[in-house]
Amino acid sequence: MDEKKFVGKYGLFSTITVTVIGVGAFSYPSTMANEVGTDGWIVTIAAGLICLGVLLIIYKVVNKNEFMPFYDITTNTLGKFLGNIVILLLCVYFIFSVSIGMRIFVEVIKMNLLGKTPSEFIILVMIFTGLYLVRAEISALVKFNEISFIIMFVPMIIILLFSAKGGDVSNILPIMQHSPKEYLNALITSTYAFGGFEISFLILPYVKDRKEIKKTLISSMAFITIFYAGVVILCLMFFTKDHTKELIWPTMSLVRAIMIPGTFIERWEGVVMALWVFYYFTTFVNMFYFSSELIKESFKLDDIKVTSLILAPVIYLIALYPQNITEVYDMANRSTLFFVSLSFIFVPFILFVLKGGRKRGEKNEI
Amino acid sequence: MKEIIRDLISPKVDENITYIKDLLKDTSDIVYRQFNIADWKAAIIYIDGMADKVILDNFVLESVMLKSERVENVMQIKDNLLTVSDMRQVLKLSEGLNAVLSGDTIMFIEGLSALYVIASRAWPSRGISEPSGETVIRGGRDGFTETIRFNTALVRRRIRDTRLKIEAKTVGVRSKTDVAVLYIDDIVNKEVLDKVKGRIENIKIDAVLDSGYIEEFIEDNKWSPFPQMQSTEKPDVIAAGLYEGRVAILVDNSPFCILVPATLPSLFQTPDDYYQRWINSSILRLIRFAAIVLAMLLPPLYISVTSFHTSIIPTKLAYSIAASREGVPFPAFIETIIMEISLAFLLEAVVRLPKAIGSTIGIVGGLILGQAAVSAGIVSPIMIIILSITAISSFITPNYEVSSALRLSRLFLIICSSIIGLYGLAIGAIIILIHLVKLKSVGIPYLSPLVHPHKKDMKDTFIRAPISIFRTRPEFMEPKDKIRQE
Amino acid sequence: MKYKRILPLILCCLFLSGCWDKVEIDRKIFITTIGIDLGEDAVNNKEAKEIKPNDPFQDRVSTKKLSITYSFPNISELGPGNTSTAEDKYISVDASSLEDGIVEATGRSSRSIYLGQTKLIILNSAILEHPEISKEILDYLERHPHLNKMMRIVVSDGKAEDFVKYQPTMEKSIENYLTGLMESSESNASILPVTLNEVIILLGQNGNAIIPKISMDREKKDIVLSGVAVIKNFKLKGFLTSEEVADLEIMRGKIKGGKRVIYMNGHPIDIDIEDVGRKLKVRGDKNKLQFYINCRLEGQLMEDFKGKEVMSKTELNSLEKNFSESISKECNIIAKLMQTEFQVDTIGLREQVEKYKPSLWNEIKDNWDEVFKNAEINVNVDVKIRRIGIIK
Repeated sequence: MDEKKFVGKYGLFSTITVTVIGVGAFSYPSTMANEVGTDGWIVTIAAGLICLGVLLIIYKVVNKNEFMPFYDITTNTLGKFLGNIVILLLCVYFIFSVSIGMRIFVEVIKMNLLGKTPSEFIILVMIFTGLYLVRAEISALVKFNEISFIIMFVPMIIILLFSAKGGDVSNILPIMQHSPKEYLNALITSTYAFGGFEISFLILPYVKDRKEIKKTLISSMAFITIFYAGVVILCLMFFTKDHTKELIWPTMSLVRAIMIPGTFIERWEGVVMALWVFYYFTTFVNMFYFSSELIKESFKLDDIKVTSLILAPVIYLIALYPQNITEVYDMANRSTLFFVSLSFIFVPFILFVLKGGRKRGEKNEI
Repeated sequence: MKEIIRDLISPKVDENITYIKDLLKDTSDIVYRQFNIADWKAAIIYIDGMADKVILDNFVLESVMLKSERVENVMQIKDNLLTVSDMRQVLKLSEGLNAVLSGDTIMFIEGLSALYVIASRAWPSRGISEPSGETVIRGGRDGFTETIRFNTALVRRRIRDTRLKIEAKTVGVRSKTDVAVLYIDDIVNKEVLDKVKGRIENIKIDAVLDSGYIEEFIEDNKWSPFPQMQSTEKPDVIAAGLYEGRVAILVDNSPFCILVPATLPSLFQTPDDYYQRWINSSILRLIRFAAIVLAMLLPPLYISVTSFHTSIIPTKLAYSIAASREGVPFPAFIETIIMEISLAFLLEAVVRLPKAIGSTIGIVGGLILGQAAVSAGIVSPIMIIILSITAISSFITPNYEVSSALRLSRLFLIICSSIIGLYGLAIGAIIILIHLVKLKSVGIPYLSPLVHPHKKDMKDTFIRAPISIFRTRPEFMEPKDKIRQE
Repeated sequence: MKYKRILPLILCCLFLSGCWDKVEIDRKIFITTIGIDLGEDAVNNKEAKEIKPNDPFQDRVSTKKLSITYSFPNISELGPGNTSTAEDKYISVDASSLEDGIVEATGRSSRSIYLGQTKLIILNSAILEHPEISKEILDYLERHPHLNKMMRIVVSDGKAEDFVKYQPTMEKSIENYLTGLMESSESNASILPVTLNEVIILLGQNGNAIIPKISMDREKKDIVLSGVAVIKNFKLKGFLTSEEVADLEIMRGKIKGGKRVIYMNGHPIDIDIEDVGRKLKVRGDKNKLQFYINCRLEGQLMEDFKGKEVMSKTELNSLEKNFSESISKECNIIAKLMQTEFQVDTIGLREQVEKYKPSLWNEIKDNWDEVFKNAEINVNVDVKIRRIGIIK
């Protein structure tokens, strides 16, 4: 048992998948319906392909740098000062998106499960649990992802399949009715939903079998794309695009409306709510770990336990900052463009273009 | 703490005897027999009750005393006169005394600066019987006893391979308990073996009374309620474990042998899974798995569904539950805690009582108390049903320690779900999962093969595939010799 | 570190301080049916219109627009040792909105009102004549996170309160009765099961919907569920009778059962409908749209009259032809009715254009009402009698 390289194929696959698919899955069909009506699934597939491309670039970067940890790659390529800045910006992105996600998560919980419990309590519970996992080493994190994958997706897919019965396939028509500008906007929004694959930077250095990595990356991206596109299609089928536009969390409403005759549980939203906790938690804890790790390297602190304790109150404060749900989504939407370009375009391309080693000739970035 | 015994053996028998008598004064069960072998003085020392007098009388004393004309010098006694099959020469007096205290006999001969240890251990021992905690429908019914040598024999019968190694160690400063570490040399994972042996050698306590002590000393995480080693009384389980590459530890005076490393899925397997038809066993395993999940989740689900999120259950069920809970003074949470506690009381009581009364009390307690409680209006009938389903499901767990751990987890989940409903249940489940995921048993992840899965290992987890498919040993153990079947 | 001691302390305080959402199940009232009627001040809305959004004491604007009746089962009757179903009890309140109604009802009951298990909403048809009020009601129903969106909704011909309090002979509560009726639409085509979700979606698309109607037969003291209310732009446009509904269902391609009859020489000949298939075609351009609706009806002959042999190809064919002609003519009349009198597209023609001819739709979508009114709808129903029972 080599402590250094313990992540297998399934470990890599499940880590990327559960980190990417988080709270966004529940509101995603609505955003898509608002931007491009019935073409949401087409845009999703396109976005998936783009992200696959970015993921493969990340793989190439890590490969070229001998599978070193992310911090070392960045500081080697960009030099200590610039490297640290980029890393800190990335951490801000991760923490920010995780905190916004936390707030969305809390709002949904309050809407569907617990009306009167104070949000602070819900957030605290989540943060403490996250701390518990982060304080174990990274192997525990990967193992947790492996199990969560099964728990999250097997019931969900079965439940979602049942919803196809009440829907009307023709509700997906007509297709390709929108202007290119609308498609472009939708593409950018859609790629944001794929955020989280940066976790591969963290995990790839620990992968056991280097030959199979490419195949695994492709299959995990494929799974994510199919899942998102499938959810969009099912919502459209059941609710038609006009109603999907109105719902804030169409996936949840979809599950609510499912009736599987003859089963004990009449309304599945309770089960799905419990699963929803897993969806958010996996995204949260993986990014939390990654950021704590990066901060630890950046500030030369010894232990990830310390950095995670520092980051925890930050997440708490940011999560509680927006005053109501519209502000939450507003903040999320406004910051999308900046962070997406940072994380999706800037970092991977730069690290790809500037090969590792001392400062090479300055290439013009953005 | 260590006792101080001199090492030197005097060639004079009387001196030795005096020293030993002085050391072991106030012990009435030590026998000192002095006699003559031809012209030499000799003596044997043994403990009454631990040494086999038949061997001593017939094979030691008789030949030595009556046939002593065959030898001319002291050296020849052991080769030509001592008609016992198991004896050795020892040069340290302390070693000899340890042997006496273990049930062997030591013999002093005038002029010899050594002593002979004659194996004569025989004490009353429980016969081979079926272990009460691990009954099987099909399979051998022999179980370990308290004598380590019989136990190793039982294992040997199932592994007649030259590569089976039985290393002996002594643990416990005062108890000097014999401990045997068993493994198959070319299958076992060397890292695991070295770790185990190293940890055993580091035990410095004065007495080891049972394998449970050893278990606590060598486990990875003492704060976890989950057992990280498997303890069993059945030799076929040990043999199967050894064939998979595990290490077995036998402790004298304990019929419970420890198998290391242990993983949670393996703790849910029973030996007759392998001896019965594979389809039936697979279905049984799935039932077992479902029962365990049910046992853990049912009471917390009941609490969250009735107190927090009533919209989840079908309307008619909601009405039934509401109607049956009317008039009950306690909220659902307190009800559940009361029933959990009374279940725990009942289980403990039934274990302590003599067998005949035990089962009766179980029925009385369960049935009548429950019924009376409902009639008195203290608990609702739904609660009784949930309780009985939970209890029955939790008994399906083959391993007693695991079921205690599961009971604790259930309690934890109950508390979580009573504070924040389903969200609490989910978070509680996540916390338990994190704990299990972090746990390691001598370096092997506790939840293997569910984590870091190897495709081939799945054939023995949720189902039991036919034996013809078992070509390789479980991969998560990383054994040296991987091929089981051609 | 000192953290290790403080942390558990904080945790203890948090955990023991409260279970905020806990409501014991026997402290809840499970509302099964909501009946909504017009209140006294429904028409007189002046006070509400004059008030400004930031004025104080808006709660005092007590325009009693709605009169709401909540019915719930008496749970104690369901306890162990008692009978299986329970009697219903009621709370009636006057309120200015649905949410206000909940508040008023809570003020009058000892237990907390729980809407998560509601199964039926009865709307007084008079409400639908005030589109403002019906929009408010629908917004509340849509927005409420806990309402079961698969519940049924019906329109009542008369005061909803009477219907809610009605005791049917077969079931213990009206909700069971109506739900059972709707589910037995397998055999009776004139009953159209509609869930709240469907109504919301339909109304969301263009403000049009059809909702089943119930009325009370005064002499026999019976409730009949027949016919539908047609709604256009959130306002009641009119009613369809049950026969008309059956034809509509054929045109929509959704009929699941029912019977048709023709008279031949004074004798009724009945067929039982088993299945329907529908094909829609759109032709023409924005000036004159032509819709071709082709339905294929499969049926089984149930009643003829003795003395006539039906088991011959010619005989069966002539029956089929008669059925087809009769039903086609009926459907064409109903379609025309929809176009001219109701001016509501309930057949699904709008969606057809939008989905399959999007470019055409882009041209006419702003003018849909006019285009629909002037369109030409041709219905052709082809009846096939597959089986004739067990005698010739």
